[in-house]
Amino acid sequence: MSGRAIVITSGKGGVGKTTATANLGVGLAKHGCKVVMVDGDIGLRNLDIIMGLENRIVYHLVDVVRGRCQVRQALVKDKRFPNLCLLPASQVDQKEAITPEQMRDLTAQLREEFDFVLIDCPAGIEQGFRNAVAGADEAIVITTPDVSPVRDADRVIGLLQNSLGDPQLIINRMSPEMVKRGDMLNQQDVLDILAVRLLGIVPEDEEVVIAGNRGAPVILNERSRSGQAYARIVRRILGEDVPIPEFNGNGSFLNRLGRFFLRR
Amino acid sequence: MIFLLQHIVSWSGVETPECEGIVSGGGEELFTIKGLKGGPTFLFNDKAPFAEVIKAVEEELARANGFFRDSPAILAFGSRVLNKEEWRALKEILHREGLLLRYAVATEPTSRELLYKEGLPVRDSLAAAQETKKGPPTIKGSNALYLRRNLRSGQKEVFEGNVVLVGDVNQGAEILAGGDAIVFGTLRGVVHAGYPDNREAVVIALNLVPLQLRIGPFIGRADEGQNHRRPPQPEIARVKDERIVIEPYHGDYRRP
Repeated sequence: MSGRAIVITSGKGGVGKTTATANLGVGLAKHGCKVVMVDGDIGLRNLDIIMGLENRIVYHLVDVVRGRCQVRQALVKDKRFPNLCLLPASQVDQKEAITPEQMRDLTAQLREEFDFVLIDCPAGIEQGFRNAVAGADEAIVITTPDVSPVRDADRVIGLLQNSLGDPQLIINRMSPEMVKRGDMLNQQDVLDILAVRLLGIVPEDEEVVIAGNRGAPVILNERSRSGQAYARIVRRILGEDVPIPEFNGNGSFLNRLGRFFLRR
Repeated sequence: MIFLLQHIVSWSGVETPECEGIVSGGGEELFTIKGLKGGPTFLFNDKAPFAEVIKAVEEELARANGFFRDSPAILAFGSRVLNKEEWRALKEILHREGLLLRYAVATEPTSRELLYKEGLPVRDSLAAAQETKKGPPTIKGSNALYLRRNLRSGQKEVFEGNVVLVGDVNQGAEILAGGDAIVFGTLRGVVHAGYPDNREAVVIALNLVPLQLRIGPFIGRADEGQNHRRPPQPEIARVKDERIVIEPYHGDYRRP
């Protein structure tokens, strides 16, 4: 049986694609799934750092595609979970070093062997995005509850709908305090605009930064609230019905924008 | 052959909406020239052999003795299958007589493609082409583009008539309509109704919260100072006293 290939994308940079990929990878591996994380950000690879695996890289994705090595030679086994692997990006090549067709072939090969192929998509909507999306059959879009990432997420959802259908959404870095004060878009604001299925909400948490720097994804820390949020998201991906805590606060931030002209 | 001069003169006038056609070439009508507001419109008989049509046009224009020079002409081919040589021959004659080609109306796909590739805008029908030029009322009797989906950031719909969209128009999305724009959903993106200069066009949305709105030559901008909340309600935007005004819409399309 062939595994699921899921691309994790956002349009905007810095909203947490790589962090989410690492956490979902670890979380799915904890549940006993065979998982490979593919770093699609050729030229700006980060996933290896977040995973704390940078010193184990020998070959990378471009080597595989160019036939300079076998897929299994390039796969880096995680130090905590033997059923979790990383296929690192090349740091020295450009996005144009591979084509969507090559990515499709590679993904097809990987899903023969793994239950989950998680593809970490680069920011932007250019070649890197097209490559990352090419082999996937599902997409998870990440956004933070801010106006410009939401707009970029909207753009990406529009592009994905042509090929993959409706993606699922993770809202990252939600601050319950700011939502309560009405200073941040709340869950409903974001969903009103993006109109896709919500997969989960990850609260703002400085543990994420610490975990990233240490190379140990936050989901490993069962006491952190963001780690717990990722754990719930993983269970939802596996088909469990886990309720999503509300982050709605009082009133909508959006409704306070866009009042104008002469209204009678 | 009859020339109704007073009608022809109105081609350059702005006031007269339309005037009836005038020139027919030859015994059996090979083509007709109609004086429409957009300019003299050549209605070609799409059954007659095109060589004869061209010949008739050439003779007619020669008789008109430079009358059509610098007129913005519209060419209506009907369902004729036009080939490149025929088109080139016709174009040469029209150019020689100084006609400025605005657009063509053709229904046959290969003709449409040919004309498009030759750099001439192609439209479906004269009626559709005229619609955007005419003023009110924009709601009745004109054609509309009906869409049932969300327009997301980066997506754009352009249509020369009215646009009806069931869904949301998000920030970063755009609708450009020659007539009205009706959104059964939340309008957050940019809508330009009555493009480019129809100030009679309206924008109606169930939740009208764009940061910018354009109707004909007018642009309205969100008031950045104002910050009060309000529940969504259907609203209508239109031009009044040289500015865009938004009012609650209760299903009564009237101009107070």
